[in-house]
Amino acid sequence: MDPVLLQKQVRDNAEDLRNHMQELKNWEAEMKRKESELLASASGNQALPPVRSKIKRTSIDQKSKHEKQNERPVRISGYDYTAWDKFDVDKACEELDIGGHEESEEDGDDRVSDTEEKRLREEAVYEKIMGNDLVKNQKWKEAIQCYSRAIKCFPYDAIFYANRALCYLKTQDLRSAEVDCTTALQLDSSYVKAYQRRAMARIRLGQLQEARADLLKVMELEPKNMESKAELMKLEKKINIKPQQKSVKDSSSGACSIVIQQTEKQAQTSSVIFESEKVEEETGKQNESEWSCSKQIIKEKNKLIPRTSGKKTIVATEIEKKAKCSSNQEIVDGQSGESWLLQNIASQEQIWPTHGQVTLVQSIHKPPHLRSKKALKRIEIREVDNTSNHECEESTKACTNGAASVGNESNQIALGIDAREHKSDKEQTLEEICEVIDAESNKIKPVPEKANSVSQNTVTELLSGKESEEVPPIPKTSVQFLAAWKKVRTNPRLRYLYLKQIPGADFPKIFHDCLESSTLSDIISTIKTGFLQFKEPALPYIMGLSNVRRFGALAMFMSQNDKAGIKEILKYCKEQGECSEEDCTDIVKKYELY
Amino acid sequence: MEKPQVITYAEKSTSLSLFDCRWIPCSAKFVVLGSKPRGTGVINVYEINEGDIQLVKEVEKTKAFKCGTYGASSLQDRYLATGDFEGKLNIWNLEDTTAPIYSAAAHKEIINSIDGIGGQNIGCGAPEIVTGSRDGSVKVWDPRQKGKPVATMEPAEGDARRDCWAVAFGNSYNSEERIVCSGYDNGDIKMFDLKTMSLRWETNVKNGVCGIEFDRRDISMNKMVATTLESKFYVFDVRTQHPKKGFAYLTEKVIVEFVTLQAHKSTIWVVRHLPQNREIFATCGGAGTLCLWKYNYPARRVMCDTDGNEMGVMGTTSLLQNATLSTQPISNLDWSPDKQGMAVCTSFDQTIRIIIVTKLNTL
Repeated sequence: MDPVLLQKQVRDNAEDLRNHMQELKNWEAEMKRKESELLASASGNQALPPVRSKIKRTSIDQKSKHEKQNERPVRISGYDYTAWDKFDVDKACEELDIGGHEESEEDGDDRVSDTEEKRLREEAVYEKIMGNDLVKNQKWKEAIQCYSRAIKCFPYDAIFYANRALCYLKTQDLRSAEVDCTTALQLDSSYVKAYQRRAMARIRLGQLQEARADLLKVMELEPKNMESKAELMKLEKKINIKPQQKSVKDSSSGACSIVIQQTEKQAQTSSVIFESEKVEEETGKQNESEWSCSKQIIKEKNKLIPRTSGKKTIVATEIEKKAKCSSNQEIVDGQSGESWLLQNIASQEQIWPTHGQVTLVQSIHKPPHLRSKKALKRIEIREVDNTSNHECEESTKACTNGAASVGNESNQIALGIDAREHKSDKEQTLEEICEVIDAESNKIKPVPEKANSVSQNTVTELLSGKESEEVPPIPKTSVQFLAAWKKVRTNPRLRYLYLKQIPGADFPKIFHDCLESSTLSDIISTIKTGFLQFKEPALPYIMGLSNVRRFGALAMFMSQNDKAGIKEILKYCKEQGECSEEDCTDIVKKYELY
Repeated sequence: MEKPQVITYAEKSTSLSLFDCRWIPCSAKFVVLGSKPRGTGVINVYEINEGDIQLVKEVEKTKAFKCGTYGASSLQDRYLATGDFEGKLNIWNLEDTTAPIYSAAAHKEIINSIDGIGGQNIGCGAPEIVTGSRDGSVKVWDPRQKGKPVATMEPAEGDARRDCWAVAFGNSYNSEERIVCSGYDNGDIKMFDLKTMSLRWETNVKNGVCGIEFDRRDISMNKMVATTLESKFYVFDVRTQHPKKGFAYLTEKVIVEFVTLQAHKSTIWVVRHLPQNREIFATCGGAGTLCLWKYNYPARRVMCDTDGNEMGVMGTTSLLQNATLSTQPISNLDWSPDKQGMAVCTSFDQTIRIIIVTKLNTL
């Protein structure tokens, strides 16, 4: 080694050491300060798991006590003199003495007399009730104190621990929540809520495998627990992603087995999804047949389709004639990037002269995963009163031309939606969306997005009077609701109408405790898109939903998206003035929107 | 010269046989446990003051103390749990040592080893103390339960009782999971799962096991180091278990890859992981040497065998530094939890040493 370098390093080391020594002196002083601080500070109260064998022992003790009570000592009959002759009084007395002695030794100072125990238990139950009230008012800290007192009085009730765990969960004290759940489960190993809460705590603590085990246990105990099922699926997705990342990170294949396990699970869930998709497809077909019912004319080969499959434009055209309206309206609802294409042309001789060249573009149903991911464009729809058939015809031509031009000037598509409310009949609010393309201009210009228009992926569809009759009747049970919901699910318009006819306050009656989080999120999105658009009162619905039994658990599992939806609805309600401050805070509380 | 240096910062000669030393958490003080020549037990509290070791308090009891831990006590309390030559487990409040605050006749013979958990790391389960004794049993204690262990692991009646030399807690990453590992004089290492109350795994390393430690107690178990007589120590990757076929205990049996290293040319008494960096650990040998090691993970920690079962893959250990501190064996060493690179060690030449290891932050 270079002697100069060596010398430098030796010097550096010495310097290092000196610094270290200096640092140590500072450290000594700091530690002394810290220590005095520590001594001054009060001891924090943290939930501790119970003594390992204590619970088992007490339960055994209780059991053995019961057994003892059951098996009474064999009584000697008063007439059985020979037996009495053999009876050793001294021995019996001795036994009694020893028995009493043993008991007192065993229990030591833990022993509490029965009446005392009864009193303590009553006190604990009282504290629990207090705690439950506080929980209802969301006073978590105070509730924790109540439950802690209850536990102090009577530490062998799983409910106290599980309830306190909920409060800890709410106050983000995850470790304590987990500990309390564990304790509750040691006391009562079939306590579903404790498993659920521990799973929540563990998910948030990042102990996903353990959380999964807990949820699986829940499924084992309560196979119909939908919230946990949903949560389990979510978690499994998460686990599936996580180990993969990890295996990349420290390049271990440790995740292998987990992934394999998960895929099995997923196969099951995906089959479920398949089924639901099938159902959807079926309803889609139904819709299609409905479409075909309304008279359609195909006059040209669908030239548009190949272009749209090039994923440039989707033109959904629907033409409808209303008897009352003198105006003929042609609707072109175009959404670039989306991949389905609708064009329905109602053949009404007055509107559509037979000599006109009409293009019918049939609907294409693509599953969601094949659809384009590009952002949707909004098209502005302007209203035109079609005074003459001729003009109308021209506009259709323009439409086709426009669509044709799309092929060439792909990005210069003008699309627009203008929703106009049209109240015609007593019961039906029919919405008409129309678009007019200037007959003169072949080129269509892009228009800016409209602020209060429909949410992007909702395709607003027109509804003829005929279709509206398809709205299922008002449900009485959750089964009816779900069956009907399945039918209307795919059609936002129908969904809205269906929901509208159900009084919001009836939700608790309909659902009892069968409301699932997926249904809830559907309903929320329908309210958001439908009711807000048509300025219908939405408050009864969200109030009604929040009154459904076990709603608290659902609210716990609500997605961010749903919560945002509720917030929007609430805002709307306030704007509409149908919602008082009290209602508002109540809803915020129930939906946990903070 | 880029390597960390091991420097003796302060030395203090005593008249005691020193067995164990522990830093008092959150302070510049430490306790040493030992015995006086006449056989009485001593707990001494020392403080580092301006680079000097000063005796703060001396407590003398009738029986010699073998080992102690602060692991099961909270930072506020800082109660010391000790095991003595008589087999008694005591917990002391060092402010008032007239009587122990907890006492149990834990074993019939000397308690060789003690470990505590659940005090400082909040949310990782109940505070518990494990003791290993010459009578062959390993017992787990909860300071809240008087007089009785919460779990006992001992050979069945009539089986040979091996001297238990080392015990350690691990895997306590939530309120349920917990593992106790014990090492015996015949080279057995046994791993007990306290959650399921079962023997999870056992192996034999041929030589008596003097020291066992998990790299961290409060994480899901990652690595474990066992030191033995005849200058070998074993590093186990305890992250991945491999179920071995064709044995009675097929689901419980694990094969853990290990690395054997020969360094001290004599018994390795103790292994201690650095609290600030779990890949670095020190082993202290019979000849008064201290070795500093670093464990390097392999590129892949897990691989599948032909049956698709996972097994762990070992990395390597590299010797960072070795230093001879005394002529007699080093009986114990404890890294300061509050100051990286500082440790106290006791040796059989009746001397307490504060050592400093530099450049640990650059590793």
